[in-house]
Amino acid sequence: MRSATKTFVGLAGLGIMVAAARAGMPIPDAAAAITDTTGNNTDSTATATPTPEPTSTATATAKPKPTKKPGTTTPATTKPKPTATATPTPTPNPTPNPTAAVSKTSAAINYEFGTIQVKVTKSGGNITDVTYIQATYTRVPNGTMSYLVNASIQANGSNFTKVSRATVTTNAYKQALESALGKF
Amino acid sequence: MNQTAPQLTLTPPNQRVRLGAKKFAELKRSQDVIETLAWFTVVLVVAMFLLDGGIALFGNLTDALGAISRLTALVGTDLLLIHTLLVARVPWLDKFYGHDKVTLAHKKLGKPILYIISAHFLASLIQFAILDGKSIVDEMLYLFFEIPDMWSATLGLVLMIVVVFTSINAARKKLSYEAWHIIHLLAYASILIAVPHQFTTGSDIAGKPVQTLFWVSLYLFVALNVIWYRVLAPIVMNLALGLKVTAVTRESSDTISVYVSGRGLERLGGQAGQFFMLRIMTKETWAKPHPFSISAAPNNRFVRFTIGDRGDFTKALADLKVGTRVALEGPYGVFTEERRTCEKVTLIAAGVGAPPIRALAESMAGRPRDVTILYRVRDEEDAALLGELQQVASQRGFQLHVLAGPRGSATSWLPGHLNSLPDQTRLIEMAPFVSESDVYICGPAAWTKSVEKTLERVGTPANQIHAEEFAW
Repeated sequence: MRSATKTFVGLAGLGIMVAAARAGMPIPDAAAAITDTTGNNTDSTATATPTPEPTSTATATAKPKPTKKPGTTTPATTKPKPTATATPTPTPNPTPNPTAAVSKTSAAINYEFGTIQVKVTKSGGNITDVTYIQATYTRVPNGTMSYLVNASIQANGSNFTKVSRATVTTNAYKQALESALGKF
Repeated sequence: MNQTAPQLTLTPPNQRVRLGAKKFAELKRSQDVIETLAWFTVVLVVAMFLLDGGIALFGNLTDALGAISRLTALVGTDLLLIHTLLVARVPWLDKFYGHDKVTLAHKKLGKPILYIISAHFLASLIQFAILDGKSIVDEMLYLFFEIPDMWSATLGLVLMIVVVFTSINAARKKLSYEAWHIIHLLAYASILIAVPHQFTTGSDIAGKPVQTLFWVSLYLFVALNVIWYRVLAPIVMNLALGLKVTAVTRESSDTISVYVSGRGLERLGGQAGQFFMLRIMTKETWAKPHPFSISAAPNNRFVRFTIGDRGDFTKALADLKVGTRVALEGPYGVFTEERRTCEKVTLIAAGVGAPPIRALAESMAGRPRDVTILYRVRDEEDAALLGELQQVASQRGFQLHVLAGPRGSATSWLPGHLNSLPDQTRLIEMAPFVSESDVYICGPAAWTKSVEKTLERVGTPANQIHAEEFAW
């Protein structure tokens, strides 16, 4: 290659990469949205209808970038879904009920890759719902977090098999779950 | 060895040739375009990774390991595809660089690519081991047996290591060419079995249309070039030509000429100075191609190779029977008039280097005295193709200097001389225009180097010096 071309290729290549790196930088807000900032981690009993405010802020901040996934910590086959973790799904039964569903919030479990805190709703001795108050994690397979919720509802406790490639996160989740169950 | 050579009739030389510095500039421009495109594929894969938020991953250890794993995989695979393309013998690379330069680039890329891909393997292994809280060995077994396509990717890496290690100089010396070649073909297998995991578990392709399009087209482009130019095109051409040996003649005590002919020989193409891969299509030798330069300008009657006794194969050629089927791959090389930019030409040959020089002398466009030929031989009585060179020189009015005898000093490329004048002085005496001519050199590597050194002293610009190494 002639030296003029070398210079051109070097500079243009560098320029493209710098531009790509800048464009690919996650927006700080989006990163913050991954950890739940609703502040909704106090015990709330019965008919816990989440205040509309936190839900809307959570979803609003979680989807600010239509083109790029925020803070893509994407490893093989995983896409963290901030929306899934940050949006507390409303408890299914808003009408007051005598055998009312009772919710307890677990301790925040700090582990190697973040913090997990859950709110467990029990009705008539069975777990009916688990929502994440806080959930930070890195590179777990797709659907891990919702699998953990479903598995714990099905097993009515923490006796279910771990998610491959998410052993540490699974264990942290179980710890959080047990901490919440201990409060009933 | 009982046949007589076809009557020597010289092919008329080229009537027209484009000369001038502009031609060289154009060549450089084409090379720049090709190299720029190659580098930009690397830039592009890195840019796509960065666009995807890659830089943010260097925050903590596991994320950084993941980022390194992805980045090395992307760059390594991209270079690996370029590396493969370099040995596909594609005419559009050969034309601008020559077979030897392309092969050299291929050799240089081998080890760095292995390092990059090994880094990918280690980074992802360590990262997953940390995430799963397992030991490295447990994690490796787990990935190998449980995760789809990981066993084949791991096997691909092992094959790649074998291929590179058998290609480093120390190992090459101990292996026969054939054994090395068979092992080297495993490289294709290693790429093929390693590809799937990129598409099934790779986070930079799955579900990303732009990236998918880029990678699929890159793979297809390389695969089609390899399949067509390396495999199908030679087969199609040889089936059409049906080449057979028509004569084998002795040129000197240790040199023979093999004449080959077939149907519609003009379709074979080629220029003086180029070479073909020659396969003798018998049970024992069909899988062992050897490169030989043509020793007569292309014509529609025969292709001629003049071959010195160098090894087992070339010795066996002397017993070749007329009618034996042969196959040719090529033509390859840029040791041709394509590269000529000056009116004057100096052709310098030594011993086994005579064949392409003989062909060039026959086909070079030129007025009398435009071309000077220097032929370095051990013994004038026993020099291959000397008679033909004399005939060409006298018919076309070219200068021919035959330089016979043992060399003058350890560093000299010329025979001993009474006055023991330096090589450059004697060169200018024989070829007064040498500094403003294109110089074509063909001979043993060390001798060629020494000629080039003299040319440098004489003042011939480097871009007017043409020498080709047998790199294969």
